[in-house]
Amino acid sequence: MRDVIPKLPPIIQPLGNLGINVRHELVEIAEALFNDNKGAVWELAKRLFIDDNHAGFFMRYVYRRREDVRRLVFTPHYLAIIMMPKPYQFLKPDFAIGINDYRDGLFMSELDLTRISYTTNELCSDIEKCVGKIIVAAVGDDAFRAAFGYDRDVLGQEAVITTGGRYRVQGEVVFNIEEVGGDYPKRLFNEQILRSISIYTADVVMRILIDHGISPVAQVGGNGEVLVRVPVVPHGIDECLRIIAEILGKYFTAQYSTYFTMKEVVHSLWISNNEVAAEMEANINDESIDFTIEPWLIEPTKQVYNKMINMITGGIKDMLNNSERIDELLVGRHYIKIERGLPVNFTYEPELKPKILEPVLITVHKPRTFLVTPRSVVTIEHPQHGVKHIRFNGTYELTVDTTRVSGRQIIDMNTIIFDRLLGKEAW
Amino acid sequence: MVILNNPCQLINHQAVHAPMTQVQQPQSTTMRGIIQALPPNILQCNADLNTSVRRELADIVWLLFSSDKRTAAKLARRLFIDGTHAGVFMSYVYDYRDRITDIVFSPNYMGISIEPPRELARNYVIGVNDYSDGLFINGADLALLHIKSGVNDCYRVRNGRIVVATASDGDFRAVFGYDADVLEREAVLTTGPRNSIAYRVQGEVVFELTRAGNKYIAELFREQVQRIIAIYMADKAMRLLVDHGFNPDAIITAADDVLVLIPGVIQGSKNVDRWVVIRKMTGLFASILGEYFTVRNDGFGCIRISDGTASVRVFIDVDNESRGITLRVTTWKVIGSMPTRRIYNRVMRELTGSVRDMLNNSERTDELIIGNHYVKIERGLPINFEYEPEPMLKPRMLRSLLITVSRLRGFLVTPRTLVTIEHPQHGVKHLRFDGTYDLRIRTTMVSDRYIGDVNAVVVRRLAYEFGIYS
Repeated sequence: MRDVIPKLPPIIQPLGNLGINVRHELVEIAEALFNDNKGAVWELAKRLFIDDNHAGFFMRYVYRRREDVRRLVFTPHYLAIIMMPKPYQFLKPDFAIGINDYRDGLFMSELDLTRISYTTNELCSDIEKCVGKIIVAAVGDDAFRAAFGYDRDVLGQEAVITTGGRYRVQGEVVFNIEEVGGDYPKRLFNEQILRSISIYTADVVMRILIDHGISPVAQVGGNGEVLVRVPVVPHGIDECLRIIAEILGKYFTAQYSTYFTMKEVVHSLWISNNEVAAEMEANINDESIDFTIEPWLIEPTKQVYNKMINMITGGIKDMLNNSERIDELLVGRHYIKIERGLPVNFTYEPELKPKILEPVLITVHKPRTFLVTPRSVVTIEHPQHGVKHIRFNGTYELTVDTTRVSGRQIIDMNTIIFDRLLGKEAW
Repeated sequence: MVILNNPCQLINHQAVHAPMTQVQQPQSTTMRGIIQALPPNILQCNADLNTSVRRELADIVWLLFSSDKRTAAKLARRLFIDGTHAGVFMSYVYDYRDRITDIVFSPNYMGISIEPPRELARNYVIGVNDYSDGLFINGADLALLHIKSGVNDCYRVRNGRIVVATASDGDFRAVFGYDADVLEREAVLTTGPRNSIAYRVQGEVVFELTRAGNKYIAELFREQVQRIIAIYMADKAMRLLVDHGFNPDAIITAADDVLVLIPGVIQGSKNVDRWVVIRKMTGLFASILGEYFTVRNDGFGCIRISDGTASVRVFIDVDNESRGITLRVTTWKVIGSMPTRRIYNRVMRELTGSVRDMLNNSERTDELIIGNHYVKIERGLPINFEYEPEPMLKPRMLRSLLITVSRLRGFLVTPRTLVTIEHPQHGVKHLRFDGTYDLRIRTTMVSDRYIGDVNAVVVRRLAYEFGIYS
C-alpha cells in the first residue's frame, strides 16, 4: 500500500495501517479513477475485468461519477469505492471491486459497505484533515466477506467441509452449512406438529360441542394457530364459558379461569385428557366466542409429540442414509449437482387424524436446502470457474445461497446488457 | 324406476318424488282450507288453492296468529323434532309474528319472512323432516323463491298485509341448494341422464355427484400440467437469458403463466412510443431465444418458442417508463398443437392412469363427521393428489412445483364404493353408486345468522340444565 500512495494524486488522504499487500489490478483501477482519458480507461477496464459487462458496469456507475468518490478502502483482494450520494438519492452507492476467486480477473458488485465506511470514520480523528479529501485506507479481507455475507472462501477444486458456516464456493454461490444435531427434527417440525395436535384437539372439542347441539366453526390460521368459533351473541360471557366448561368437563379434565392483565380480562379454559393438555383462551366479540387452542408441551401432550417426532426422525434418517438420488439446480450460470443428499421437502400424514376438520399434512419445505452426509458429493460447475467437488465430514443442512448484493445491481447490470445487445456503448 | 342387480334401489330424480306423493294425502290439508282459517289481514299472491300442504305446517301458521304463548310453546315442542328447533321457532319467529311480511307454502315446506324493527330482514324455512317425522326450522335466503313465486310483486301492494303464496317442494330444495332427497335406508345413487346432481342424503348432509370419466379426471389436472409445461419452458428461457448476462427473476401467476421479469433501463427509449420499444425488444428476445429454440412470430409483441419437447407463447411487454421487460410465458392456445400436445397427453395419460389404478384397487376407509352425521367411505379415493413432475420437466433455476389437486371433502367413488352415513336420530343409511363419480360432501345452504340463533337457544337450554340459570 505504501507504494500505491505516491501514484495517486494529492487530493487523497492516506489513513491507518498501510503496510498491507494489495493486488496490482486494484491499484490500476484506483489510478484509473484519476485518469481523464476515457478511451484508455475503457481499454484498461476491458483488460482487467472478467467480462465486458463488469467493465461496462464500472465505466458507467463508477468511472463516470468519479468526482463523487469519497473513500477508497483497500484489502489484499478487494477495493471498496464509497461515493457521496447525489442530492436526490436516498441510498448512497457503494461498490466493491474484487479479484474473482483470487486469481482470474476483476468483478464489481454494488452492495452496502456502511461498516467499512465507519471503520474509516474512526481513523479520521482530525476532521479538518479529511474534509474535501478522498480518504484512502486499508482493512482486512474479512470485512468484505462480512459485507458479502459469508465467512470463508472455498478455493480448492476438491474440499471437505467440516464445520458450520457460510462458504463461498464459486463466484457468487454461497453454501450455508448448519450442523444437524439431535434436536434438528424438533426445530424443523416443532410448529407443524404442534399445529397438528391443536387441530386434533380442536376437532375433539368441536365434536363434543356438536353432540350438545352447539354448532362451532373452525379456522386454521396461517401461523398455525387453530381457532374454534362458537357463533352466538354472548349475553353473559361468564355463563357461556361456564356452560362450555361443563360440557367439555364430561370428556376432559376441564377448568375455567379468569385472570386480569393490565389491559384486559382473560377468560381461559384448561383441558386435558390422556392424549393432550391444552389451553383454550376465549376472545369474545359481538357475534361469537373464539377459542384459540394452544397445546402445552407437558404430559400427556409431550408423549404424543415425542412419538410423532421420533417417527419423523426415523423416516428422515432412513431416507438420508439410503439416498441415491441426484438433485440438480442452477444458480446464475453455476450448475450444482447434489448426489446422495436429501432435499428438505418432507410431507407426513399425522397419526392423529381429525374427523370434522380437514386433516392438514405436516409439511416442511425449504427451497434450495438439502441434508447432506459423508456419502454426499456436491459438484458445482461454471463455464469460466471450472468444476469443484465438495464433500462433508458429518451430517449438515446445506442451503444454496448467493453473496449479498444490492437490489439495484440487478437493474444496473441488466441495463448494461440491454445496451450491449442493442449495440450501444456500455458507458 | 330401474332395479339393479343388487338389493338397493336406484335413486333418480323421479324415484325420489314417488314416495312423497304416497305419504302426503292422509296428513295434508289444502291451501284453500288454510287460507279460509286465517284472519283477513293476508294478501293472496297467485296462490294455488288446490295445493296440498302438510297439516303440521298449517298448525304452525295458525299458531302464528294465536297470542297464547304457553299453548304455542307446548304445540311447537310437539310439532318440531326437538326442543332446539322449537326454541328457535319460538324465539325468532313466534316472538316476531307481528313483523311477518310473507309466507310461502309448498306441500312439505313453508317459508316465512320477518322484518324486525331496526334489524336486517330474515327468512326461515320450516319443513317436514325427511317428509315423515316432525318439523325442522332453518334460516335461508329466500330471494330467488320470492321472485319465482311472485311475492316480490305483491309485496309492493301488500299495504301492511301478510303476503301468502305457493311454490313447489323443488323450489324449496333449490333454496337449500340440492336437487333430490334420498329417503331410503339403502340406495344406489346416479346422476341419470344429467352430468351432475345434488342429493340430500340425511338431515342437512348433501352429496353432490358429478360424472367422472377420464376426461373429468384429466380436467382436474389440466391447469397444473399446463403450469408445469410453462415453468419448464420459462426455466429454459431464463437459462438462456442468464447466459447472455441478464439477471432475470420469475413469478408464477394465478393463471398459471410464468412472468420472467428483467428489471433494467432501456436507454434511448425515453421519448419513443411504447409500441416501438416493444417491437424492438421482441426482435431482441426473438434473436436471443432463437439460439436454442425454434422461434416463430405470433403477432405483435408475441413469439412462439418451441424445442423438441414443448412449445409456448411468449408475450414481450415493456413497462411505461421503459424500466423493465416482462416476458409472459404461457401455454395459452398452444396445448392443442404439437409438440406440446404430445407431452401434455403423455403426462395426462400417466396421471389419469395412476388415479384410475388407485381408485379401482382402493381398499381404504375414510371417515368424517358433518354436524352430528358420521360418514364412512369405503373403497373410495379422496381427491387429494400430489405428483412430482417427471424428471425431464423439472426446472433447474425455478422452483420445481408439485402437481397438486386437493378438494376438501371430495372423493372419487365407483360401484365398488360403499358410503355409510349415521346419525343418532336419523339412523343409518348405506349408499352405493352406479358409476364413477366425483362425490362432494357438503351441507344444505343455511344463513350464517341461523347458526348463531341456534347456539343461543342451546346455550340458554344448557344453562338451565347445568343450573347456571335458575
